[in-house]
Order: sequence, then structure tokens, then C-alpha cells
Amino acid sequence: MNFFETEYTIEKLRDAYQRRAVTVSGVMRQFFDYIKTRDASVGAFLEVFEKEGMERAAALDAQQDAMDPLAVLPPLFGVPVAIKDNMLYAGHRATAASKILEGYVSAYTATAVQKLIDAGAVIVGRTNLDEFAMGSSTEYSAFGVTRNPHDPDKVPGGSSGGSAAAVAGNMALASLGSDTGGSIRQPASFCGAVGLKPTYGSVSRYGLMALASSLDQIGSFAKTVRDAARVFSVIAGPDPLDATSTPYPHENLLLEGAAVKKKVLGVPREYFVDGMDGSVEAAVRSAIDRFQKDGFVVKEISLPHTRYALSCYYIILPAEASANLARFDGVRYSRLDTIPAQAGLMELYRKQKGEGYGDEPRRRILLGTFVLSSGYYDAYYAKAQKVRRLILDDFEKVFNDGVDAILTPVTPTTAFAIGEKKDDPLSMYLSDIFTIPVNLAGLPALSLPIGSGFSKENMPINFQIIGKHFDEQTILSLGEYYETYLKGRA
Amino acid sequence: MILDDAALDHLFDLARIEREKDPLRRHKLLADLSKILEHFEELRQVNTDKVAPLSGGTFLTNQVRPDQGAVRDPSDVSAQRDAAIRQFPDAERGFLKVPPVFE
Repeated sequence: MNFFETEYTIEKLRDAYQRRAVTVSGVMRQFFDYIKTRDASVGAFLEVFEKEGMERAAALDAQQDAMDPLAVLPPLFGVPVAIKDNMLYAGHRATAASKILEGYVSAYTATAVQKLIDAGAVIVGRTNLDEFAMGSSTEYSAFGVTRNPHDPDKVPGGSSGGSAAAVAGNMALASLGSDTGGSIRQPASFCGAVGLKPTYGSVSRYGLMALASSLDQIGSFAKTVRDAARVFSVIAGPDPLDATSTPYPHENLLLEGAAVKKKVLGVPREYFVDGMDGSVEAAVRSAIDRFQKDGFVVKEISLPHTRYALSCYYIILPAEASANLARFDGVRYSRLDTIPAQAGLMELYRKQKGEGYGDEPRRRILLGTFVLSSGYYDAYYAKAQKVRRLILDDFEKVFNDGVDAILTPVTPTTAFAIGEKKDDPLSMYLSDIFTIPVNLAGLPALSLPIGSGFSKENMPINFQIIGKHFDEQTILSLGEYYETYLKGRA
Repeated sequence: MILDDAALDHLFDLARIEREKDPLRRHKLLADLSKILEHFEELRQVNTDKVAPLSGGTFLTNQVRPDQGAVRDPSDVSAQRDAAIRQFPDAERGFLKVPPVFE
């Protein structure tokens, strides 16, 4: 049995465990060995938890030995899962890929991570990201570059680039990411994985380092929609430790074919813009055609404020980030070694942040400070919050007119070359234009591989299915419907 | 240009970040920030009279609970506190030590 084939999934692994065809120790041994060779050229992980992972595997094997052979195993029993290094895991380092937190060790565990563990998962390691999840290529990590598993000269996308590459590189069967403006969906597309950004509030953010609190959402990467649904059902739900988490019931996430076919699909004309890569447009159109040919009602719709989403987002995000990142002041968490022991408070703050933050966090903190500063607040921040309302209203109107889900591209291009956009922040920001509106409106969205044969360089291309608030069921069901078609074609 | 040299230093001071001294890096930072701020100008085209600001994407309802500390595992509280204290850059007798605030 080869676990490192692209086709390998959580469902298949569960089946093997249930039949006792494999042991968790045996599976994890192979995964850790594979990570050693594969990650040397990908760089998805900042740290691999091999020793404790193997101990955990042995404990899970003992647990299964003590169980009734017919008993159903916990939902993620013995499944290797990676976590983005902006989530806390007690006793483990957590750096957000920033020098400013280089020595920090978590005092507690994020709720989403705890739920994975409670469901039987083996946490294999913490993955690389753009510093504090600010970026779209993982090049803004203070601890090295992550490469696209399909082409080492290309970026994996970001900010959850390490988590995407871990799954696409077959080094884990699922991973957690966080998505503030596209940080799960865009790397899922660049790496060819399934990426789910759930509705704002459906997964607890307790223990996630806050970037922009009104936009951040924890979600997952997986090989298939069914696996993504399984991970979502484990991590979703209310949490007394996160007052923005909601008690919405998520049951029966994957509908049967006949129920799926009743869904009305919308295609927004504003998402097919000049400057979009021809292969991406052709690929996304072909996915839309597939639904149409299969008898779905597909309507052209308009989301007229889409073009303002990028500006709106890059005002709101830095504003919130500049407040959230103020806490890494050298007083409460790690302090850089270079700071003199006798430094006064102001000197400590300035040196800690001046030397600790990389270029992108520094840029965004300054930007956020500017848009919130006296005299500019109304022109920027207050204006952006009003435009945010209009963007949500656009979606509400379409959903109220009978559309159940919206089909769009995920990114305007396939994975770009390492170094191509690193020094041009605005062009980096533009790679998020199709994912940002979803966060501004708090909606769920799925990023899903379209299938091969569109990109000249054979790089993956995903499309995006956007749903109504808390309607993960519709987008996952549509995703699985499309995936079933792809499997039939292969 | 919306931002000039003096305004950049003012932002550094407000954000409590040491001012960038390298002239090339300063120039690049000013140029990047200005380009981004210029992009934002497009928002002026949007008529937002009578539009109420939106601070979050979902229709959140207030969640109330008794005014008590919430913990996942009550047996773990002192271990968590000790773990948090161990991460303080400077501590004394279990308290966070801060450089003098009033000098």
C-alpha cells in the first residue's frame, strides 16, 4: 500500500484501519520517513513532530487493540494532519513565521487543533506561512521559502503555503490553514488541493494568532471534498472561548445527487476580468459548462462592487492588524536577544518591533496606523466599512434572488515564480481579488481542482464555489458532485 | 504623494516601531505605501451616503455567559498559568516584569 500516491485519502486510510490492514505506527513511520525525503525539496514544514507523533501512534494502536473490532473509529483516527504555524499547540513552538516570536512556546492549545487531537488525528508538524499570515506566496516567511510541490521554481501561494504544500506533496492527508483574504483558497489552487474557507464564526478562532479579527477564519486543506467535509465536521461548532463562534448545526454535509442538482448557480460577470490568464479563464469556464451540461440552472449575475473589494480589504485588514500586532511588544511574549537589558519601555518597543517585524508586517502596520490616524479615519477606514456593507449587500441580493451558490475563479493566474512579485506588494495583493470579497462578507467558499489539461506548464487550477452564510453543505455537495465527474473522466 | 518623509516618521512613532534609517529602504517603503494609498483613491467613486458601516461579515448575536473565567479544562489552570509565565521575557515571583513606565 502506498500512502504517498495522490489518490490516497482519509477515507481510504480509515477503511484500512477499520479492517486492521495497517497500524497507526506503521502508517506514521512511513509518513515521517517520506516527509524527511520529500520536504527537503519542498520546505512545507517549520518543524516536524516525529518523536511525539510516533508515541501518539503507539497509543492509538493500543486504543484500537482495546476496542471492540466492530466499533467505529473516531473520525480522524490515525490521520496525519499538519497545522499552520499561527495556531497554538501547548508545549510546542509557535512563531507565525516571524523573528519576533522565534522562541515562543504555546501555553495552551487552539480549539481547532484540540478538536483534531480529540478526533484521533496525529499532528505531524507546524507548517510555513507568510509572516503573521500576511502575504500570498509564503515568501514573506522569516524562516525560509516553501516551494510548490508541482514545480520547485514556483511559489505554493499563501499565506497558508506550507499547509497547502504538505497536503499536495502527500506529506499529510489534511492540514489546517487560516483564511483572512484567500490564504487557504489561493494556495489550494496553486498547489492543486481542496481548500475550504468556512463561514465566519463556524470554527473557533481561540488560539489562532489574530491578523484581522473580523475576517480571519480557520479552515482546512484536504485531497478530496469528502475529506474536507470530514475535517470541517470535526473542527466546526461553538466554543465558549470564542464569543464569535456560533452554534450552527452542520449535519449531513454531503447531499445526494438529486438534491444537489436542484441548486441554482450564479456566475458573476465581474469575476472575469482583463488581465486574467487565458488558461485560468478557459478552465473555470469549462467547470461552469460541466454544471450547465448536467442540467443545473446557471445564471449570469452581477456583484457590482467587486472591483472595490481589494481597496476595501487593504484598508480594513491593516487597520485591524495594526491593533492586533501591537501585543508583540517584547514585554508579554518573546523579546529579541539584541535588546539591551537596561532598555527603557519605549526603546524596548521600538527596537523589538523595528528589528522583529519583516517588511510586510511593518508595511501593513504603518498602513493601518495611517488609515486609523486622526484626520484620515473617515476618508479611509470609515469609508471602507461602508463599502464593505455594499459588498455584502451584493451577495445578499443575489442569494435572495434564488441563487444557491456562486461559481468563480480563485486567482487570476496559476502559481507564479519565486521572486516574481516579492518586491511589489500591490501586485502581490492583486492575486487575491477573487477571494477577498468572500471574507469581507463572511461567507463560506470552497477552492476545488478543475482537472488537468488547461495550464501550458501543467500547473493546477482551481475554481471557487461561494455559498450562503453557514451553508457549507451546498458548496461541499456541489464540490463533491464535480469531483465525481472528474473521477469518471480520469 | 499622500505620504512624505515627515509623515512616515510620524507613523513609525505612532506604531512604536524604530524609524527606518537606510535611505534606500526608506525610499522603497514610501513608494510602496504611496502606491497602495493611491490605489485606495478609487473608493471615492463609490457613493456611500446613507450606507451604514459594517464591522463584520456575519450577523453576530451577543453571546452571554456568567461573569466567570472560562477554561476548557479546570484541572489544567495552574499548569497553563505556569506555561504562560515561562514565556514572559522577564518575570519576578510569578509576575510579569515591565521596564519602568514612569521615569
